[in-house]
Amino acid sequence: MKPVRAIIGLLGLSALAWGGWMAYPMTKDIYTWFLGPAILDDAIVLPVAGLLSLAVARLTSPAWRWPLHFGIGATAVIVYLAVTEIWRPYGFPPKPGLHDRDYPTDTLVTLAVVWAVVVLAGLLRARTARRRQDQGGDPPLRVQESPLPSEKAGA
Amino acid sequence: MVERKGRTVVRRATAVLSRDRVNALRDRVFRPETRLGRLKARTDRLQDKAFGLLRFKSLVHDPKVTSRIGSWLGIAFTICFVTGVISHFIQHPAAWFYWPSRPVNLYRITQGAHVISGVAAIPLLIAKLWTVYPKLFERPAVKSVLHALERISILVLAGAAFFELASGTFNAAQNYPWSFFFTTAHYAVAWIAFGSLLVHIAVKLPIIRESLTREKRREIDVSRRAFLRTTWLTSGVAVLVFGGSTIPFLRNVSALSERSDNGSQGLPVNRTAKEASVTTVDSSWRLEVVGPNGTTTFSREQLQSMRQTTAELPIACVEGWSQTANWSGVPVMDLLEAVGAPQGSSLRVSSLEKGGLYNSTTLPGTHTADPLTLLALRLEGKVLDLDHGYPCRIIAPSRPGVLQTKWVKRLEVIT
Repeated sequence: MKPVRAIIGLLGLSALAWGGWMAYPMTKDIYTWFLGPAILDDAIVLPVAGLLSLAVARLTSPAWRWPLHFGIGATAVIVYLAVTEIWRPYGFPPKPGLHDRDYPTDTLVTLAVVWAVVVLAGLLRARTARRRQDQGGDPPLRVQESPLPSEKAGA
Repeated sequence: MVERKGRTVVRRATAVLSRDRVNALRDRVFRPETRLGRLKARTDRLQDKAFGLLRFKSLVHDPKVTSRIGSWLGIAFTICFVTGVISHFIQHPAAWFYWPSRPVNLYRITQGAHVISGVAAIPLLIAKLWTVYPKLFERPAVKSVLHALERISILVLAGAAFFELASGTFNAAQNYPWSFFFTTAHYAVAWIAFGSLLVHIAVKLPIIRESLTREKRREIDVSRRAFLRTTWLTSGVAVLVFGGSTIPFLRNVSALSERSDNGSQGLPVNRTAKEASVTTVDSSWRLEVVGPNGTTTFSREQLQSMRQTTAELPIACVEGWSQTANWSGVPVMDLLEAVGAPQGSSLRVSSLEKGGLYNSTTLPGTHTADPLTLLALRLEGKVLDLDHGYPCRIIAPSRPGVLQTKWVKRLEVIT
């Protein structure tokens, strides 16, 4: 076990040093893009995700919780990928067959499909939960009451 | 004797770096009666108040969840790294490097896998960081020198991972809001990312092994499983909305695919003739082929009168998009034969384009010996558009699009 860890660690340190040696002489901008997104993630993305999860946990029934989490996560990823195509002050102009789609409309349609799936999944799960409750069984979705959202992410 | 001395040195070094030593040093520096000590006490009280608000009770902040997501993230990053290094060496070949010309879709698959695994890794990275988010606030922030090094290595890993994903996705969109040269920076930081990933695995291996045992996997309850499924689904959505760039059956589903069907002759154009300053090519154009017996010239009519081969080959861009088309033209091996050059010779291919990073490329012997490597004159049965490289272009199997030189002017046998 120990030799394996040592070999992996040494290989890693060598690769890290090689990459650092290549990156060191590059423009300072590289450090901004190295640290910027990581800080943005810790200082904004994750706290906002935590607060949204908390809001979902407090304001919705368990049946809706995970569909809503999926909707929020998928929306964030779609919006990020859309930004790379739509916000282009530093981008190459579109060319025949490349970056020439109607990205705003396509993004809105995709988000509409995602949220339609979220609503459908939420309704189905809520109906299943109601039926099971009506049949006298334990509400099956109660076990999901303390997942991701239940913390107080006040950062 | 030497060994004993070595052990003593290691023991002393470990003692110096031990947690107790660090704590003792800290206590000495921040003695309560000193100004520094009082400042620290005040800061600690403020921190306690602030961190009191943070109560991470979620079940997903759990090594079992972290390890599951981390495994997939590790796989995605390994695919990205290996395929990226392959692409680098195809473009900057070392003497020992060999890249086959078959299967014809090989580069399309490796580069498609590179971009798709990168996009899939975005939700995985954020979900993984969420599972370990409480550790960011753990106190004391630094327990020992080794602990400090471990925290710094995680910062390097996260920074490099975000750098690769952010710069890669913006590059796929040909969008460059930075001043560094993307290709070299992305390549250098890839080594940092993969290296720090290996260091992280080496440090965390016991926890990873413990968390991924069958017993521990059985302990993953409904809510943790739901979190994992949500993460997989979100990664799946990222692949769906982007993957149509390279996966044919997703073409009409992927809203954020780089490519559309509006390219000239049905094929995207990455570098237009206007960008390359190739405005017109008249009938005086001649292809120069420099062989062992001097230079031979060919007019377009002469090239058309030679044996023509039609092949279905992909254009596979380094930025991830790819598309197959039917190309017709003269096999490069026939041109080598016509000028008396040995089969399997490497060729330097020069374009009419004056500037640009890729106006001259090298076609290795493996590819010139492949009968499907063409000096293409026609695309889908029609004469090449100027945007696609009229009067002729190179199209070879399993090669990056940037090396499929357009507006070819000269071929030079170099070995």
